[in-house]
Amino acid sequence: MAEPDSLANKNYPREELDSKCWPIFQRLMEELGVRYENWIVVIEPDSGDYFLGLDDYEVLNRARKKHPRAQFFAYRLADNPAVDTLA
Amino acid sequence: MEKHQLHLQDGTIHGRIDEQGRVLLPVIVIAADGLELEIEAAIILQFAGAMALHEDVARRLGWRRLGTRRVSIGFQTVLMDHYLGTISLGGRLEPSQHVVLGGIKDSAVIGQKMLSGRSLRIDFGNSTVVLD
Repeated sequence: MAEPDSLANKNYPREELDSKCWPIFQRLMEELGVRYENWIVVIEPDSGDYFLGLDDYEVLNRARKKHPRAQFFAYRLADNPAVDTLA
Repeated sequence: MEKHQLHLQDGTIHGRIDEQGRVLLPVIVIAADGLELEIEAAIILQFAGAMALHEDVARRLGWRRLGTRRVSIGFQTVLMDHYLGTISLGGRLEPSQHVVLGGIKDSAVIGQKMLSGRSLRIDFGNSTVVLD
């Protein structure tokens, strides 16, 4: 684990953020995917810290408290890792 | 029908149906500098989240980007940024913070979280939309 808070204010492009977090998500799917199926996981790419919950607002706020200046990638712990469906 | 025909009366919020059949409600979004912007948002009932905006709108509001997520649109999966935004439905309710997605083609859509606990009545015959 890295330091509790990353002070760097990194602004990752979308694809880079996804590619950094995707291997962590795949590991979490193997470890937690059955128990927490369809839960939302929010990943901080530099520390590898992750935050689980059912409500994206609540999970993002929890992640932001620990890493106030970080950016996070959110997935759904499911075969389709999309968090939302629009039309 | 023009935007000025959106009415707010007695705690209810009145929207409209546009020429494409989309059901629209007025929403106030509050920029990072406190400026209030009234926009019309289309209701998408399949969307379990609160709101999604065109990327340009989200950036102009000055909200801090908190990262990205995967979103299903039809048969595609796209990457969209997520923000924490302050929103007031119809300007009638106390503004509250919600997760807002940036990156849709339309200007704004709202989903189930914005409508939670309220009753939506749509009369396509008379072209009326009322949120109680």
